[in-house]
Amino acid sequence: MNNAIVLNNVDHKNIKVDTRPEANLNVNRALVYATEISELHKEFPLVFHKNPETGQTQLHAILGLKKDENLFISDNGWQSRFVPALLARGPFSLGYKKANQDNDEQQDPVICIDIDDPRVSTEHGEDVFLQFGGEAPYLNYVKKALQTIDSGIAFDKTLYSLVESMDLLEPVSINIKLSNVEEINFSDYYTVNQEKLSKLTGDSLEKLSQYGVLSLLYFVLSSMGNFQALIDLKNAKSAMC
Amino acid sequence: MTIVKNNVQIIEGITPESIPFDQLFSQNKPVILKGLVKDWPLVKLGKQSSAKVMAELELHNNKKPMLVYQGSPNIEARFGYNKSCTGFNFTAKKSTIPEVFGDIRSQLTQDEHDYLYVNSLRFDEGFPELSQSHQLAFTHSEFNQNQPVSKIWLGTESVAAAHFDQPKNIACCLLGKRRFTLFPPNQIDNLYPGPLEPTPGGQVVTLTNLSQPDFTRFPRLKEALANAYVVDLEPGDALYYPSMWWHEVEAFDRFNAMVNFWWLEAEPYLGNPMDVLTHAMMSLRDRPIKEKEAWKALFNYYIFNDTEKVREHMPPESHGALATMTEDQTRRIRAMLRNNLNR
Repeated sequence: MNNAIVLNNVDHKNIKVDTRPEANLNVNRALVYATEISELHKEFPLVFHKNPETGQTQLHAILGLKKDENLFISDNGWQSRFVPALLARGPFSLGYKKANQDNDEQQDPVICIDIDDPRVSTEHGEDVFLQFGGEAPYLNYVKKALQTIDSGIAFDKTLYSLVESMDLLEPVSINIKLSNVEEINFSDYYTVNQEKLSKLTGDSLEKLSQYGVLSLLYFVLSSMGNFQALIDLKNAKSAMC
Repeated sequence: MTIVKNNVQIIEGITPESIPFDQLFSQNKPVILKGLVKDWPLVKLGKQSSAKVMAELELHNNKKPMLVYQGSPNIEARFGYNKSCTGFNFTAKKSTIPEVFGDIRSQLTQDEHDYLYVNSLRFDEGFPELSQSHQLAFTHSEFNQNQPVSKIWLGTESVAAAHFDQPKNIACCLLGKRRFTLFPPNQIDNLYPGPLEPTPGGQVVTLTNLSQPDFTRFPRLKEALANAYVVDLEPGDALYYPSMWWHEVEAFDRFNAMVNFWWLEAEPYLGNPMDVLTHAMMSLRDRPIKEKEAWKALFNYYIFNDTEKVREHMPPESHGALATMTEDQTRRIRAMLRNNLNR
C-alpha cells in the first residue's frame, strides 16, 4: 500500500533510504522518459513498447535478458553512469499542492515520500537531510530524477504524438542467441524506421527538429547497438558463475 | 479612544496626471491627495449608486477564480485571529466576482450579514479594461526600476488590523467611506504585533483592536494612539503613505471598493529584509547577550551607519560586498548564502 506524504525536514529529520541493489531494482526493463533519452542511449538499448491492450506507447530501457535480471546492477550498486529516473527516485514522488495564497491556478510540486516503503528506515542507508535540516546530496540526486520525470511526462506526449502522426515506428523482433541452448525473444517492441526518418523532408523534418525530437529519434536508433553490450555483460556474468 | 494630535497634510487640486511626487516623498509621512481620482469612471458611477458600480465591475470581470475571505456576522467586520492565534476567525475560499457579489446582494436587506472581502486582487488580472481606465501617471525617476502594481479591494464592511507593508502605497477610495489609521515604524513597541505565521494576509498584524482598545491587556497602545495619524477618505480621495508604516484599514459601507498602487524603491535584485530578520532570529537572537552586543556594533558599522566610512580607507578594487550592491554581486552572495544555509 503506497502511503506517500509530503516530505519535510522536521518530521522526517532522521529518515534514511536504503539504496542497496537488493531491493526493488531487479527488473529487466524500465520505463524511461523523453527527457532522459540523450543520456540513457549511451548505455541502454531503448525501444518503444506498445501495450497490446491499450495501444499506449511507452519507451523502455532494456536492463536484462530474462525475467527480473538487471545486468547493470552489481553488489556495489549501479554499474552504469546513468540510471533511469524512475528507478533513481527511490521511494520519492512528486505531488501537487494547490497554491492557496495566489490567485492563479498554478500548482507547486512538492516532494512526497512513501514512508511504508521497505527501503525507508531510520537505521540504514543514505541520509535524506543533513544534521540541521539542510538537503543531503542524496536528496539532490532524487530531486533531479523527479524533475526528469515531471518534465518528461509533458515531453513524452509531444514525442509520441509526433512519431505517431508521421508513422515513424516499426515493429522490431529481437532474438538473442546467448548460447546454443538459450535464446531470448522480445515482443510488442518497436523502434524508429530509419528509412522513413531519413526520407523525411520539409515541414515534417523542421517540426521534429523544432520540438527537439529529431536527435532523440536517432539516439533511440543508435541505442540498439547496446544490445551487444548487454549480451557481453550477460556472457561475462555467466562465465563467472 | 485617545485623542490624536497629528494632522495629516492635504494636497488639493491635483489630477492623476499631476501628482507632485517630489513633494510626497520629501515628508516621509502620510499625505492625503484630496479628490485625486474624483473623475475616474467608477467613482463617478458610485455617485449614482453602489449597485451600478457592482454591475460595472461584474460586466468587466474575467470570471477567473480568486480568493475571498468570508466571516460570519459575529466577527463584526474584523478579519483576524481565532482565540489561540493559530488560525483565523474567517475562511478563505476560491470564488468568483459574480458569486461574491451575489452573496453580498442577497444579504443587503439583512441587519446581520456575512462579511466578505476580496483583498489584494491584481486589478489588471481581474478587470483588464477597467485597470486601463483607472490609472495614475507615475512620472518620477523612482519608477524606472520598479513599476507600480495595481490591486483592487472589494467587499462589505471590513477591518484589516494594523500591519506594515514594504512597498510605498497610493490608496484610492472608489466607493464607500474608508479610514486609515497610520503609525510610524518606530511605534512597533506599542502595537503588540501577533504571530509571524500564520498571518491573515501575509504580514504580521497587531493583536490590538483600535476601536475598542483594551488598555489593561495592551497598556502601551495608548502611546501608539497618541502617535497615530487618522485619515478619513471619501470616494475620489487618495492617500499616499511611506514604506513600512503601520496601518489599519476600515471600510464602512455595505459595499466598498478601493484601488491601490504600490511599488518598492530599492533595486529589485536585493534580498528580502524579512529574510534577514528571520535569519537573525534563527542565528543571532538566542546567543549570549555580550555576543549580541558585539553583533549590534557590527550591524551598526556595516549596515546602519555611514556606508562610506566602511570602505573609504580601502582601495576600491578590494571593496567586494562593501561596495554598493550590484546585481552580479547579489548573485554571488545569494549562491554563497544558499550553500552556507544547507547544513
